Amino acid sequence: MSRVVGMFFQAVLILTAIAVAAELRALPAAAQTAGASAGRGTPPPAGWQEKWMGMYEQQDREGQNAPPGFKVDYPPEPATIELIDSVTQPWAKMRREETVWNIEDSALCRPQGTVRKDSSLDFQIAVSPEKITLIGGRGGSIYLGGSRRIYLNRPHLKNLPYTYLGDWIGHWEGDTLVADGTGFNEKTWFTRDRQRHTEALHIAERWRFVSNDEWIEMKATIDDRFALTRPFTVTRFYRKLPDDTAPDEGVCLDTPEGRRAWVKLFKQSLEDWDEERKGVGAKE
Amino acid sequence: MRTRLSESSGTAIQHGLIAAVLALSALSAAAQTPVATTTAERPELKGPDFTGVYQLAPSGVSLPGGLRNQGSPEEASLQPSAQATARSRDPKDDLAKLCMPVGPFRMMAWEGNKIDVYRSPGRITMLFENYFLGHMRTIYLDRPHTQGPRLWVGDSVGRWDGETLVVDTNRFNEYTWLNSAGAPHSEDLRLTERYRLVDGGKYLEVRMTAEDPQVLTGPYTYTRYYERVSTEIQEDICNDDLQTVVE
Repeated sequence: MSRVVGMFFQAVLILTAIAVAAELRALPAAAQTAGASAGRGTPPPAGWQEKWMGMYEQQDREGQNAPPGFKVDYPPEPATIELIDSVTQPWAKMRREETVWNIEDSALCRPQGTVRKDSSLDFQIAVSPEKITLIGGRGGSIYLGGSRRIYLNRPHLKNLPYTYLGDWIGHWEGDTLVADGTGFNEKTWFTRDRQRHTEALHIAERWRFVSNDEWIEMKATIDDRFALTRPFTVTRFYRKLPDDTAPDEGVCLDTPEGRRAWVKLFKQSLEDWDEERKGVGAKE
Repeated sequence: MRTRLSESSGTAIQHGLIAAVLALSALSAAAQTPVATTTAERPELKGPDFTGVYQLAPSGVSLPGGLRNQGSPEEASLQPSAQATARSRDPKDDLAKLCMPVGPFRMMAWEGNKIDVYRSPGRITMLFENYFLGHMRTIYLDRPHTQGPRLWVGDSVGRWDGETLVVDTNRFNEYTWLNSAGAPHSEDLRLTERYRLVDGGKYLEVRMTAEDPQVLTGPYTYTRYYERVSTEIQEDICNDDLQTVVE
């Protein structure tokens, strides 16, 4: 019984924390999100389609993969976890502890989200007049990010569907592509260690060519007024590969045996979790 | 009249420009400096631009101009041994149920299929709204078939036959079925697709032919019409609810 009461208070605590946090942080962040890209910026730079489309090399998480004179500002994963932890609100830290690894991990052949994977691995840029599509993982593997479409001619959707990859719009500021992402569901994590965000996740990215147009620099400001105490920024670089670079196929767990083993593991995790919960109930 | 005048003067200017460009390129060729990429190096620019989003027209309805989907993967005629294999397969083992790629032969006829087509140097890329079943296809226009691992979507090479894009695909893995009834295929499966815009560009027609001498009684062809749409590709995560995959 005491456990139930404890859980009740825990829930109240979390809800209060969310409410207070939202109150404290709502205004500036909301204003930022509302500053939708459409209708802003400068005309597209001449020849941008030819320049941007192509294959791009994997981001090196050790921070070595940057053009001369530039520095990656995104540490490899243990340090990333600490970085995000340092700006995570207390309730979100509690939520992380409550998150069940094998059941809730979007890495189970679902998109891992734009922060965790999408922009840290090989990708392809495909363009059409109204959008720039980032095909995650050179082969377009959903596991490595799926396809993120950045629409250039419209504001954010009025009724956001809240998806794994979110709703992205973009505009040009000179030679810089300014991309704005919102409408993310809560299923993806910031890192592999269950660091969660809410539907208030907002990502503002600036993409531009640097170093003789051989590299793209991407600076992202990542904010979540419910889960984070303040935004954090990362800077990453991607080297453009020759046009004849072949994409890998990249199907997640790409044999039927692999996929079935995964389903079995997931089933087992669900059963274990059920047992655990029943155990807790019996004690009370 | 005014329009006519401006049109003809426009044409004159165009001709002048073309002449100037030709003269310039002749000059630069003489000076042996590389000029802008030509269509010889950019085979994807030689044919019509298929860039866009298309939605498969439903079967059983007549489209304007009498266009109509014909045939289906289910109707492919199998040799007796392949029939036996299909009968021995449990529909529950269909990899579509595990959210795995079904291969282009099934996918291009998949009800509700929506594709997103792009072109880039030397290739045409096709993305699918149903990312899991369709995955992604790259059609190489600048190289012959290559050796390599067997693939879910195969190795696709394309060439232009006038306004038609002819895509030849081989090197499939053996995991995919040819239809929902469990029709097998061998490693020799070869697909030939002919894509062209019809009805003034409103529809993309694909004529899909499968050949597999070990499995099919002969080449089998179906036809599908894809309508060019202005709607966006939605996120469609097959295993979003993991429970459904498990059950």
